Amino acid sequence: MNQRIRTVLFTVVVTVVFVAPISFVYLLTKPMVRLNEEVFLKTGVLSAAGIALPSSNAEIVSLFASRVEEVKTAAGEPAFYRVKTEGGGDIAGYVLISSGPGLWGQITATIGFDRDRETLTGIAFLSQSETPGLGARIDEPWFKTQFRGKRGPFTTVGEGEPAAENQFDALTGASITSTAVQSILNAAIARVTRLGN
Amino acid sequence: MADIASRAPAPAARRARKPRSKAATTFLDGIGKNNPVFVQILGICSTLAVTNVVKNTVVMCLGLIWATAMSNVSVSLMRKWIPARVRMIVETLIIAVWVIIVDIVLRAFLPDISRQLGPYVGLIITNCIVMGRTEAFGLSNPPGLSFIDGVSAGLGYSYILLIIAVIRELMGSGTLLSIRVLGPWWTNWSIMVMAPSAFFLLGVLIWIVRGAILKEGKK
Repeated sequence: MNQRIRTVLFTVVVTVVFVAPISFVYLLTKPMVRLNEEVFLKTGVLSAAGIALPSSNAEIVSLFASRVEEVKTAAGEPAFYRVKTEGGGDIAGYVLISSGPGLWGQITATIGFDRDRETLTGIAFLSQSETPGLGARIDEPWFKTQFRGKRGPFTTVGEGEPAAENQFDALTGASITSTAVQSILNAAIARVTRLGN
Repeated sequence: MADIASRAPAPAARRARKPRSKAATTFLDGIGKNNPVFVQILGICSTLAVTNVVKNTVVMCLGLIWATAMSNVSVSLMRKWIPARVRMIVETLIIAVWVIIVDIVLRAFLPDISRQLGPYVGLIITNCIVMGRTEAFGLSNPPGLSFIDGVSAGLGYSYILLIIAVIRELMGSGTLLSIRVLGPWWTNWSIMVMAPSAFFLLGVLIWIVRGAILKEGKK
C-alpha cells in the first residue's frame, strides 16, 4: 500500500516538475509564434498583390499597414483585402483567400486581382499538404509567377507547354493538385466580381 | 519494449573484448555495431517520412540527437528513484518534454522549417530509438555515459538518414539543400520523393552493411 502511494506521488511530482518549465518556455515564445503567423499571412497577401517584399518582419508589417486594408463582409463570407496604391488612397486591387480540397488535405491560397477584378496580380499558398516533389511543387516560384497578368476562368495545359491568357501550366505527376488549384482559382474569380468596394 | 531491452549487448562481454575506455566504447557502439537503424532496426518510420529533402533531414536529426541525449541524461539522473512499475510512463513524459521544447523553439525561431516538418517533430516522441536508449541504457548507467550514449545513438541514426536524404533529393529533385546540382539532362525520379523509395534505399543499405561489414563481427 505504502509502495503504491509512493508510486502515485512520484508520478504526480515528476509530471508537475517537467510540465512547469515547458509551460514557461511556451509562454515565453508565444508572442514570437503569433508574430510569425501574422507575418506569414501578411506575406501571402502582399505577394498575391504583386508587391515586392522587404526582408524584415517589422518592415512587412508596416508595409502591409500602409498598403492593405482588410474588409469584413457581412453575410458570413470570408473577409477580403483591398490593396491601395503607393502614397495615394486609390484602389489598386483586391486579394481574396480561397481554399479547396487538394490530394491530401485542404489547400488555401491568397489570390490577387488588379483593379479591373479580372487580371491576376499573383497567388501565394498559405497552407497545403500535397506530395513533396510532386503536388507540393505548387509552392515553387515559377508556378506562382505564371499567373501574373493572366485572366480566368482557367483551364490547364501540360507542364512546359505554351499557355494562353486563360491557361496555366499544370504539374507533371500531380493532376489532382493542379485541378484543385484550378478550381480554387476559378472560385475566387467568380467571387471577386460580386465583392463590394 | 522488452524486445528493445534484450537487444542491448551485455556490457560485461563488451568490455572484455575491447580495451577501450567505457566512454569511447559507448560512443562507437551507437555508430557502429549497435547502430540503432542497422542493427536494432529502430526508428524506421521517420527514416521514410522526412528524408525527401536534406534540409528537413538535418533539422530532424539535430532534434533527435538532442531528444535522445537529454532524455537519456534525465532518466539516468532519476534512475534510483523511478519506481519500476511506472518507469515507462516517466520515460515517455521526459521524452515528450524535450521534444516539445524542440517543437516550440522551431516554431518561434525557424517558422518555415517548422511549417514544412509539420507533425514530424512531435513524432520524435514516438521514435523507438529514444525510448529504446532510455530503457536499455539510461536506466542502468550514470548520466555522463548516458549523454554520450544518447548522442552516439542519435548520430548513428543521423548519418544513415543523411545518406538516404542525399540520394533521394539528388535523384528526386536534382538538387542538394535546394541548390541545383544536376544539369537539365537529368530527369527527376518521381518515386524518389515519395515515401516508398526510402524503403528501397534503406533495405539496400541495411543489406550492404549487414552483408559486408557486420557479418565479420558475428563469427
